[in-house]
Amino acid sequence: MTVPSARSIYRSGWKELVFQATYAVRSGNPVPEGDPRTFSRKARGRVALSQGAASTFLGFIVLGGVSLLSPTLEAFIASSTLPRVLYITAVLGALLVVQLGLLWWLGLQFLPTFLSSAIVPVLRTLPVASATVDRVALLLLVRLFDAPALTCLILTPIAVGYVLGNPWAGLALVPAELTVVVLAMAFAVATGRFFVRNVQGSRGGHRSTAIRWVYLVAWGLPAFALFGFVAIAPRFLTLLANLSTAGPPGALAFLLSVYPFNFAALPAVLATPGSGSTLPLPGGPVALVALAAGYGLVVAYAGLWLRSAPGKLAALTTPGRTRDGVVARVRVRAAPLAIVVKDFRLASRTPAFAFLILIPLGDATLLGLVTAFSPLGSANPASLAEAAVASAALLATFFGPAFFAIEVMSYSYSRSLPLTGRSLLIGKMSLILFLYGVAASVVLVLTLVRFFEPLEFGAFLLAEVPAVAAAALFQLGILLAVSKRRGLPLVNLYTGAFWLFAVSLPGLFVSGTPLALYVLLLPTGAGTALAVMGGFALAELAVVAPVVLGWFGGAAS
Amino acid sequence: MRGGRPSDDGVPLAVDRLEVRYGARTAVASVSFRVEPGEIFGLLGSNGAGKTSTIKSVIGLVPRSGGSVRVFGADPATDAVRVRAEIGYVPESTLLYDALTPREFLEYVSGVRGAPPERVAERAAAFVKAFRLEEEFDTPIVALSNGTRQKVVVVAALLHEPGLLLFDEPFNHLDPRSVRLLKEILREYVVGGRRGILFSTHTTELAEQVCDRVAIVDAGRVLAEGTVPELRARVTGGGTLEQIFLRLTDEEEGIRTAAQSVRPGAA
Repeated sequence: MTVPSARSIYRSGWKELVFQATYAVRSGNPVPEGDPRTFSRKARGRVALSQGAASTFLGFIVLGGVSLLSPTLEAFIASSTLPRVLYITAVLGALLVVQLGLLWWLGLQFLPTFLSSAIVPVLRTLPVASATVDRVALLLLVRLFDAPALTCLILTPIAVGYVLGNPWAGLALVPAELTVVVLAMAFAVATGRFFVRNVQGSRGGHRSTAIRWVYLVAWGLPAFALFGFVAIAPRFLTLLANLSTAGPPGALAFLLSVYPFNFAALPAVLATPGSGSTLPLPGGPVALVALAAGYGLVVAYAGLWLRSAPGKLAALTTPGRTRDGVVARVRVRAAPLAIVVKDFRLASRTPAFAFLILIPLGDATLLGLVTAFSPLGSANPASLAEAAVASAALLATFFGPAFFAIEVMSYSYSRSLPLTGRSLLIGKMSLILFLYGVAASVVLVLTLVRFFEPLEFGAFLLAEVPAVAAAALFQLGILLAVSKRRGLPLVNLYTGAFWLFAVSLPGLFVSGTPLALYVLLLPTGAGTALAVMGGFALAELAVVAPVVLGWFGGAAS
Repeated sequence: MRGGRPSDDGVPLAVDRLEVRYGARTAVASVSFRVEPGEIFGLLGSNGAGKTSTIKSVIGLVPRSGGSVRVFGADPATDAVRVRAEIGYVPESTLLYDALTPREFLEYVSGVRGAPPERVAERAAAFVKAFRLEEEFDTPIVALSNGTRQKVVVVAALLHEPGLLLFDEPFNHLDPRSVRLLKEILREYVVGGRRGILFSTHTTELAEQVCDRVAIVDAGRVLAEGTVPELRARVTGGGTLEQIFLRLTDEEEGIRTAAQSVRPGAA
């Protein structure tokens, strides 16, 4: 009997993984209708489409980030006191952080499918060498990452080389991109292990739930840093400019010693002739290369660890923690509230969904802290309130529809329950409104430290509520209609990326229009602009709610 | 009848010439039977005979291609919410919300069903004690054994006291004590009430022990229907339900030949 190679096993495993990623039958989704012989082909198509969507999104971020390197935009954005080498370093460093965060986040989206597909545990029962199984697991993981990772690895250096007019500068970014891809995979696997050991098996109850959320926040800190970094990017450039002229000695050297800024500084030095000697780092470019090499060794270790880590992760079992003397009290809630509570509970043990809640809240907290404790220049309460509300509303609108994917879990069972489409829509909309309300409140409460204008802030928050509700109903209504006709469109955020974007864009239009109206009408007076904004938002809800809720009525979800 | 809504005819389940197709494949060709009030009705058949498809079409989880289904007079195709409110369902495979604990799962199911809170609380406490679920009541389902998951889904089906139980292989994974307990619970459940149970199994002993009447299903058709003594009378030689089943499905001889063909050392 010949033992199959890792590559041939991987090919079969990939077919199964793609099928589960698309149809999630092992997670409780019913087997789809149609000819079963076409499922595998359709699943590959769906995954390819989603990989394409994720890569395109990443590509836009790369091109958007790299375009900031053009001298025209630099003159517009950065202070004239900020040396160009530091400006390029800052932009590329931020881009690398964003790419790392996005790839890591993407990894978290498909890790649950990788684990629930049970490919590796099945292989462990067969006469296949342990090292071969580990290799299969690694190949599957790499395959899941490949298109977005290649976008980073190929597109970024080319774009950087082109915009900076120096191909060597682009080439110098390749090691940085390699570290980003390896670290994103390693972080995804490491956080997956943490998830299985500490979060997935965590017991019910208030105390365990609180600890679980603390775990999730701590674990997600780097991802919040990513969004926070984007939120505070302009202030970061101002800070760099100040540090370069009047900062404490060693501050910039410290920054350049931190990953990934040392990697980002390599192309910056190559693109700005003569900057090597003025680099604010003892040892100049040599120290920069040495630092990058040091980090490179750490990343190489992470790469070695990845050879067996995915295989070990997939074989982990969730530790079940039991307790004596449990009081079997069951609390019954109204259907929409039961959905909200269920979604929160599922999210607290499912990182992909926990992040949907934590990212808007984390971003709001960071924005609020920055607003409360940094110089504001010409900012006024109205513009701060508008920025806070816009940020919270748009994030809730963008991430909110993804909560629909929760329904795929146990869908074949939950469809046997007498759940109406209306209850489902109201439940999910309430969750999105909750996210918006808490995120906006966090920013506004922190902003009160600077401007104590509770009524004005409160009015802004309330004026946007109907628009967020209308956007949520609009998006969820589309998803529910699609799911009734052809099965759940959002099985997970990896294979559902197409539908997430498809409903997010019109949703953002609905929730963003009242805010845009406010900005347009501001010259006529803040009060009038706010009244029009609130009125328009109410009108949107008055149109969308009867149509969507009436459409589904009391029919089964 | 008011507003086009059918009135309750008091019959837990009436299935008439049901057809279910998946693309070109026919899973249920023509199945008819009734579950009367106070009755446990068994669907007995081999794997792939069409039992699960029949049950799923009763709930409205798979669309029927022909025939009719009525649950207390309501059609699941047009009145799914009303039908589902009348049903307690135990699926063949217990794919539940892995990230919820049994307590959280039962709270969600009861909430969606709009069950009376105090009654649910009382019954949940009684079921948890009966099935000895106390220690694992706050442990996520992902970490539970298959048997414990099965107990949870059985409790979820019974908690709101539905009029029709649809149990698809409900004894899967259960230990002997729980099997005995569930048999007693099912028997008590239908005594003297309007309630009925449709019970699907491929285990003839269980069907014989639990069901009042049995339909033997093969290749999407009902081959015979009746009480076990009635079925025994229809088949030459009588015998156990297993023997009746094998004779009706013409499998008795084939099984012996098939077993001999795969014995160790067989050519």
